[in-house]
Amino acid sequence: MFRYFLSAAVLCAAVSTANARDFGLERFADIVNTVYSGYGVFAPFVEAPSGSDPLHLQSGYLGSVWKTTRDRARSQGASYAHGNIEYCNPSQALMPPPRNTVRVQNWRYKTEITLTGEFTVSGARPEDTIFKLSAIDAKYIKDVTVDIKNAVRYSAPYDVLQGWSSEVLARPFCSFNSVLVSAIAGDVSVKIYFIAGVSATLQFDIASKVKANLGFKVQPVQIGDPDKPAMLLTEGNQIFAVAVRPAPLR
Amino acid sequence: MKPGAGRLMRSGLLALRIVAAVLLAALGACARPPSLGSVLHDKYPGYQQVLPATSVSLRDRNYEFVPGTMLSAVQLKPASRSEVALWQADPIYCPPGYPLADTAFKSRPSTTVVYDFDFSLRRLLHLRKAKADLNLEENELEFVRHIAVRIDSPRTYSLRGRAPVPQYVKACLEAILKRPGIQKIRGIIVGNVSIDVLFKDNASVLAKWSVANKINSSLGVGVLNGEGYTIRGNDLVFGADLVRIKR
Repeated sequence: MFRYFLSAAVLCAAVSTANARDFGLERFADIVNTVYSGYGVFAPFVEAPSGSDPLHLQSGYLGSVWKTTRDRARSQGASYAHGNIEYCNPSQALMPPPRNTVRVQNWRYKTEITLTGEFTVSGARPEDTIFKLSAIDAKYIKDVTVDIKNAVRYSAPYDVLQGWSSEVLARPFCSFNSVLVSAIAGDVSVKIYFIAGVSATLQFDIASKVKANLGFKVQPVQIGDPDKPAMLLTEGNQIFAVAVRPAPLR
Repeated sequence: MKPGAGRLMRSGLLALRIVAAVLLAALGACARPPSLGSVLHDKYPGYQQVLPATSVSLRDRNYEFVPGTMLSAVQLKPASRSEVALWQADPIYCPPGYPLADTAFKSRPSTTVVYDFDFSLRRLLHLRKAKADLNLEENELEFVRHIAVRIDSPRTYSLRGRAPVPQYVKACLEAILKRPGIQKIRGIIVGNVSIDVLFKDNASVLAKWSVANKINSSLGVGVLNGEGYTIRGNDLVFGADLVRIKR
């Protein structure tokens, strides 16, 4: 009996965590949808596929087939959790030539959390997060800015996408629910501004968590001054937005 | 001159001045704040706004905004008396098989549209258009002093006069024509586009951030510097001439 209750509790916790909201990503997804209409946020970000992936193993190839769920943004748009997806890439995976697109300059998210660690968003629950940070860490953050330079869009003619994705869908274990039809990549900089007085060690610790949660490989760099402490994360050519359509493409 | 005639003349002049001032103020208040949709409507008729905005690509045969391309698009906002329709282009398209450089090119005149806010007057006259056009709340609009939309080096690419023969991939055309909402691009307008917003002196940093985060458009999200907020995009496709294809 006890074992039954334990399993039920674990299951409830798992479901609850799966449904946890990320208020920072929700807002970012809103802004991504405003700028790149029809695109959702893809997080953690991933480097756009290039010649350094000869076996075509990484995610982000157009025509790849995903098992994924769409999380809603705050008011519009969507996000896809990279960590939760399963995917199969086309055998002849190629990225089409990138085309320049508009950019996001210094978009700012003001932390929706009080100094005592309570979310100010109505209906928030203890398991909710801000850029995947728990309330325990997020209460030290004043705001977060995102700057995206050299934004490029990858897209391909419909017959090409159909060909690539139908080849994948015909494979065993790859009959997933969605097809990646377009992606937007750019040089992403995230600045995390802390409340004054936060120790350098704690700043580095929190920035390192953001680094892992958003898929950055570089170490965070300290910027700002003691009154306005801040850490900077920068990574080039990151896919941060995707357009996904139901499989198979018809 | 009769006694009192001078006073009469002075009061007549004063009345005229008041009437002129009210007329000018009313004219100013009736001018709407520019948006990309209204600039296209007024300055470049025939083109609709399409999202997401993309930079132009002259040589790429698979570029999705080459005139002749068939693409799936959703209308986000219908055309109004003052603005063109707003479309969202899906990344689902069939290119015509030739590059943009092969289509007819024409330079168009540059344009700048400026709007200076006098919110107290607008409030007096119960004009709410600025609020609606910029998607701002009244308290946010009070912080905005001036908005300017500039289009430099605009040029159009179209099928008119010099139309290469399209060579669609048959499988692509067959697949896409089964979908609803397919449009054909007959032309595009490209240019360097910028939107500048100036805030009033009493606007706090928080208010500026709040307004800046809301005045975003197909141009992306801009940068906030001191008293101003700027969004710029070079060589952007900021409008397209679309025609619906019947299935």
